[in-house]
Amino acid sequence: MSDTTVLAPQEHFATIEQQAHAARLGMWVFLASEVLLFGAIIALFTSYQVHYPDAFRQGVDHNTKLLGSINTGVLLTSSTAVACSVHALRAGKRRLAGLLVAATIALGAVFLVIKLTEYAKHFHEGIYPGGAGSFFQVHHARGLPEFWTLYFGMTGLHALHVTIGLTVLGVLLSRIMRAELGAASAHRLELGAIYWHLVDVIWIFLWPLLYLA
Amino acid sequence: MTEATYLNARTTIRSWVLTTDHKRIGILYLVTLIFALVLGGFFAMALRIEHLTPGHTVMTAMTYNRSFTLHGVIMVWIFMIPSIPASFGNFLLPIMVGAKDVAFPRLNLLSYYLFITGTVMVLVSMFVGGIDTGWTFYPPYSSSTPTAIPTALLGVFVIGFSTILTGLNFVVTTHTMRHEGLGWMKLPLFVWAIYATSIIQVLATPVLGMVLLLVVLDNSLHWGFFDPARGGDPVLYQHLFWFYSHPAVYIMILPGMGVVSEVVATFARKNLYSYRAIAYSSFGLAFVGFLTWGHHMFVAGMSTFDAGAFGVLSMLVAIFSAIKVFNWTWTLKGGAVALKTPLLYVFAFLFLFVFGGMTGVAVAAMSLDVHWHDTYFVVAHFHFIMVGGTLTAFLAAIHYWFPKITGRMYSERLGLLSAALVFAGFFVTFFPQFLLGNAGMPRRYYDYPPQFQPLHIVSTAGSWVLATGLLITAIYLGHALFRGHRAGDNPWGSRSFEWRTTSPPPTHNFHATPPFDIDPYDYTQPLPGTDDDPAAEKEAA
Amino acid sequence: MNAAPISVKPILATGGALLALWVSSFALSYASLGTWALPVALAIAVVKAVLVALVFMELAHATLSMKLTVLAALALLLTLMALMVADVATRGT
Ligand SMILES: [Cu+2]
Repeated sequence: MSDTTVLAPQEHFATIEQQAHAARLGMWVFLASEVLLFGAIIALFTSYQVHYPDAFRQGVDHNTKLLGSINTGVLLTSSTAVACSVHALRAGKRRLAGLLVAATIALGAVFLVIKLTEYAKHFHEGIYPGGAGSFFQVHHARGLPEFWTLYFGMTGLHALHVTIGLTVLGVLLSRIMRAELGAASAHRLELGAIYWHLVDVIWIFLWPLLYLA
Repeated sequence: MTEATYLNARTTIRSWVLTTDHKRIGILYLVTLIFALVLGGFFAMALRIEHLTPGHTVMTAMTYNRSFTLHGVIMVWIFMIPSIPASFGNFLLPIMVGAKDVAFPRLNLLSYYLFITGTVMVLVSMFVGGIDTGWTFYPPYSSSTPTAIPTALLGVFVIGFSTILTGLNFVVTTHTMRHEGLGWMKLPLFVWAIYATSIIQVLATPVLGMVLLLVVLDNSLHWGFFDPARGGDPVLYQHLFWFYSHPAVYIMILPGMGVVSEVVATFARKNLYSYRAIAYSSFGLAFVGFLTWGHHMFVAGMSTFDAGAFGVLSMLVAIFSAIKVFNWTWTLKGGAVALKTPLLYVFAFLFLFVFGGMTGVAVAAMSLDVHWHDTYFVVAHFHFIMVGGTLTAFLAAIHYWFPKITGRMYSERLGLLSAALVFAGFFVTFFPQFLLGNAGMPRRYYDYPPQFQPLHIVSTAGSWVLATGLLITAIYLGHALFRGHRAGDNPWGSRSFEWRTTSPPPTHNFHATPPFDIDPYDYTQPLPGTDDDPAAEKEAA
Repeated sequence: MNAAPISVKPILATGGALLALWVSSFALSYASLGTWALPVALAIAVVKAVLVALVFMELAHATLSMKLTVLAALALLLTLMALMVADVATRGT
């Protein structure tokens, strides 16, 4: 089994521990940067919300609350699954780890399908970014176009991150199946999982802002 | 048989363009940056010539708008933001922490190519319509101008991504690659400066990236994030933009301060007055720098509550800057000062930075800013800080580390001469602009009333002196690159770690275990293994 | 290496807690809380995010440098939001 092989560090590292530590810290620094990326547009959303409380309330009330909420559950479950897969891989249960990553990917795909269904529904109602569409000829509240434009911007950017996360997990899954990743190199899967959790955390905040209140 | 160095290890073009050696990547950046400096400088000279007479001199008003935009975009985004960290930071940081390379060498190469891609995109925008918004890209104008906004802004976005990756690499390298026995309090101060800069890069740049993307969407798809007709608020753009772009001033100047610390210690042959004060004040600046962005928006329609808060917070910056300046001057006082070219540039830095900083405190007072806002006074202020701060430090760094990087020495006499020309030229160019601004000359105006002409002429004449100084520098450095005499490993007798390997260094930086047995600023002990031995000098005398 | 948790139980317990919080947040959105609706929903979101970060992302066992990275990002994000919103909220026209 590949788990017993000792991994050699890259040339410029002294030990594999040092290399894993660098990779992990690198991922956290990258996530910090991602937090500010989303933070910027969330700060813009919050400012407009303070500007136009009534229009934003209207927007939230009109949103596809049920679908958005189901999606929250889907992502929370997927996060749990990928956390379990890291645990399984560390314990040397490569098959189980692979299954759990596959489940995570499936849940992520479900998330995207639901998200696209929501978009289709908005377009059908004549809601497009930039205040375009028939919806805004009937609903005139000042600030309403900003709500929907920001909605599309924030969820679109998030969906892009979901897609990147799915790609990363897909690569990791194929490497687990080919036995290239095992207990000794579990930190590689861990990095992908941490990224996936961040995607989850961002949605945890988008959900109340855009669908609940 | 010559010694193996990073330069002669392999010499094919392929070995350069696909290198993952941090030293070679540093050189690639350095070459690109100098190209950007020349290009940005070309536009600056053209602008100054245009202002020799009121009205039309050599270019149309539209060309003028595009030229000042390109001057700003190239100098800020392509030259100053990456300047010292990407070139000297890349070259020196791993050596200074005793590592063989940065933590992620391939990512480092990727950052370089992202930087090139972004730069090319910005330059392409020049030919497909140009941009006429100024380097700040304010909406609503930037959301509606038909010029090449998407190309240019996406270019800056890609450059931003490159800066984030470089910053990430440096943060992780400093944390995880330090050699055994090299604690934080023994790191050269240049490392502290680059580290603090990297943190700003990693945390502030994404905000810029986001807001630029939103403007691109506004401009190309008319989404209207900042369009008042659809309820948008352009002032919120300014919040997000300056949340990055004020800290960006520290991205430009903190590395310069790191260079100053190194140069001051080496040429005063003395331990810095307070290592900790300099190290920690870098963080003080990085932190306070994040709380002051609103001082760019006093007259933009921001609330008076925010304006008051930002005015007070902005003045805190002066405290941390002053800590550093007093520290350096106190170190120089009573040191065995050797007035070499790098040190002369450091003196220029200190003068311009203090002068620019004082005017900065003045414009941070809202009542005064209302008078000076968007005039040449502000233009002069930020050129004193950014050019005076970054460019002089960049030139100090080029001279100070020239023997380290190339193994050769430049002509000290020409060095001192051109440093004096650069300083004098800079001062003559920008000091009159304080007077012009105070008299009411607005920035970014093509035309001006005739009574401003004498000061404009003085300013333009200064720019020629400055350009002459830089031209001489380019000539003698280019000459020294091939014909300069061998400098030896440590021509300045510095104690800092990068000087305690061969010059130029070998591919993996050190021939044997890196020498971390003494402090990087300890000049009380003779340097083991060299002829630089104060005790021996005394005997001879 | 990180001192990672040995048992899978904390992970499953956290997953359960997250789903419970999800359901309660959804249910609370139907209780007419008025102006309190958003703060309450966001408070629950913060609890969920902290759980994910500490347990799933193993921040609880991470090195000080990683914790400080996260804290710095959050501090800056809050600063940005606070001063931006303060401007909009105190403009008064
Ligand atoms: Cu500023």
